[in-house]
Amino acid sequence: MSMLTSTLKNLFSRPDTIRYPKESTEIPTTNRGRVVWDMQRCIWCRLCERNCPTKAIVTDKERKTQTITRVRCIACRTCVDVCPVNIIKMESVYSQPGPEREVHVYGADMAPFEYRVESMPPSLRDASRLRKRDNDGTA
Amino acid sequence: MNEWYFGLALFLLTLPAIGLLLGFDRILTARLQNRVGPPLWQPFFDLAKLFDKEGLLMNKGQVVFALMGLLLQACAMGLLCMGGDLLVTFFLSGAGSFMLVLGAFSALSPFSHLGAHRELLQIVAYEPVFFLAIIAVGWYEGTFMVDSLEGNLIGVLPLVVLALIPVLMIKMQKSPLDLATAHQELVAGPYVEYSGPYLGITKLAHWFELAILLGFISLFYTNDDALWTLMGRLLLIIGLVVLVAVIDNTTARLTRGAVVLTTMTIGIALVGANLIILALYGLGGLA
Amino acid sequence: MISAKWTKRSPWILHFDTGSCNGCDLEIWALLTPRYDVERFGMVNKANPKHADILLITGPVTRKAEERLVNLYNQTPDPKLVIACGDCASNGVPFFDCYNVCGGVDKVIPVDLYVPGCSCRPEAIMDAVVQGIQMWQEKVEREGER
Repeated sequence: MSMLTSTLKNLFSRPDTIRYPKESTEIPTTNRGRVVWDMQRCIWCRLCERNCPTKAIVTDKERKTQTITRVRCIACRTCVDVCPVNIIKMESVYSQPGPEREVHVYGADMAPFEYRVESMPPSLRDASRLRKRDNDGTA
Repeated sequence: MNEWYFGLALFLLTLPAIGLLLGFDRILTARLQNRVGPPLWQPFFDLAKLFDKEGLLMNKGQVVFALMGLLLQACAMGLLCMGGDLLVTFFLSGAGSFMLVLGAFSALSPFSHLGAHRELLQIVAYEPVFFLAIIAVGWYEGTFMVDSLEGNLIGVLPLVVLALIPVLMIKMQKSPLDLATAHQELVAGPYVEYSGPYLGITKLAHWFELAILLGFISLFYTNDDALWTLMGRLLLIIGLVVLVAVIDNTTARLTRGAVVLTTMTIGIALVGANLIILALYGLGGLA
Repeated sequence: MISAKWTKRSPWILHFDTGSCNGCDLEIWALLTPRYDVERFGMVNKANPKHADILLITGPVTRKAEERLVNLYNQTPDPKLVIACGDCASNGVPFFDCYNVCGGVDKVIPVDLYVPGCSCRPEAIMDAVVQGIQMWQEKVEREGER
């Protein structure tokens, strides 16, 4: 009987639905969306790369770039906590889906928290190769 | 009502009308669940997509059974629209629903077989009630021809309409009585092995099947004014569909035995009670 | 052929869990709740590959699930679309070096869309589905020409 009253109440009240692509939903500010870098202040300690549990971050000291694979990042916040100069920030905006797996590159010559989108290099595509690179003594 | 073109127009209008009714039913269900729901034309979009897709088949028998089901249901509906015999309509439609079971049995899939068994149980549950309702109408009117039915049947046979509500629930695949297409446990029941256009054909057959029952129920209301007759029949059908949707959203599914038992006992008891009352008052064409 | 405008309004989905942690599964089920209600786009969860158009795959594809995934993919009639939901399905993280994991849906079947996030937000899946419907329509048109 309580089911009947609640369904009838639903029928005559406004639906709960957010018509998403037309209306925007509110994302909580504490949401772990994605990490962004301010590479101008980076001291190249590579702590974020070393501590990343899923090997999503690749630091290139010579080219002065930081590369993050979006589909590898699990937004665990380890890099944010570990950074000694606090240049890594967690944004609440989630990364966009797409037909290609994207790599976001942060360069020292770019403005803070700005990145350029590149397609995923084959070296990052194969997980087993990543592991080998790890064992070779980079860490 | 005797002109053939009137019957033909009615027959051609059947499918769009049932599609709209199902779309209305889906919106109503969504609103009862506090959702917005799909557009009204959704059943037509589904059908269009199904006919545009690739069809995967287990064997050729499936096509034969699907097409036979559609043919039989369409014949039955045509007969009803042209003012033919109610009993012949009923038997043709029954054979059509049996074709779905045969098609499901022809595929070598345990899920399909389970769905077919349950569809058979459903047929066992609702056919006697449906049949008795038709017999009751025929007993009161003295004829089974749709053309020569007259008088406001809902006034003298109200319990028969009540007995037809569980039948409508089974045919609309609604919650307390939907054995075969129980979407939480069996996914699609007898429809499991059909895909693409073949699923579309079985869907069309189901629309006709539903149209026959709703058409039969709509015969219960007549008025001297043709416009009032049309309005009253539409209101009767929409009211029943709303009632079925509300029951669907407030109840859990019964077990197999309970479905057969409740549908049969309630249905037969209601029809029987109505006939006994009529006989006591000396009404009815054959009495 | 029937106009793609009509056919793209009814994508039926099949959700398959290939050994995920249930995080992304919950987000997919969140799409069916009154708050997001994907039935607005005509999407219905069909749990049956023969009726499905869009495969939503979660999980890093364990060796045991690999065979079943290929089976489901082959049983889905064309035109079909595969969406890898979440990081695990896209790439296999954080299970990428496990002995019993294939490491991503794309190692087994072709993937059309990747949804990043661990777990992916329902909004992200919805974005992917809206994009996917567009791609699906293009696929339908290509099928029609053939």
